[in-house]
Amino acid sequence: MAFLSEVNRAEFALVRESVELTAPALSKQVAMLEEAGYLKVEKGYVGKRPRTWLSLTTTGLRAMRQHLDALRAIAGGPD
Amino acid sequence: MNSEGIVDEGQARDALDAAERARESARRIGRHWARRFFLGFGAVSAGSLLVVWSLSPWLSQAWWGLWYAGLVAVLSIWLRRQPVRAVPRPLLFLLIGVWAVVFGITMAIATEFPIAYPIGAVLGFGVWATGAWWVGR
Repeated sequence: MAFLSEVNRAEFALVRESVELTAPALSKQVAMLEEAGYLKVEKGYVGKRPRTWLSLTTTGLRAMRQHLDALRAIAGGPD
Repeated sequence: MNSEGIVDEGQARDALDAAERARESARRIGRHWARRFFLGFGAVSAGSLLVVWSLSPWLSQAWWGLWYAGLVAVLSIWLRRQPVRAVPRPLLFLLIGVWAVVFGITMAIATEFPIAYPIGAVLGFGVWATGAWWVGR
């Protein structure tokens, strides 16, 4: 979610490489976040290749910010 | 999302650091692809004007509208194919608007003054290069 909070949308494969997760592990996270309404998943094709794009929803972005604020509060100051 | 499971300051700092690394990675990748997109499209649009220049003696002006539409189609297809989209929409619309004006003026006056083609090509590329510089700051 932190990765996606900085871009409009990103391909699944790119996110997987960047966060260094396996595809099944990321798929599981994506499914949970999508179910919670935090993530939007779009499937399509580039040429004949299937692609999955991920983007944060407004709710997801807000939740992400609140989570970071909570972490900062626990850590004891603005980071 | 909540902060369940984070019980002490050290864990919170670690989680914040991990989040910041992911965000920085996203910013870096986003900048990279945005620069590539802008410079690539700038080169294509500038090259297309030079092609128009070289073909202009043999083709009627009616074809240039199609050329223009083709470039816009290339821009949108190319944008869709980007693995990451991180260009702020206002910046993208601003660049498209300025480029469209440069391209349109070039096409309008180049029938009388063909030297406008290379000048328009350079200016058009300059518009996208400025965008690339902006996102890469």
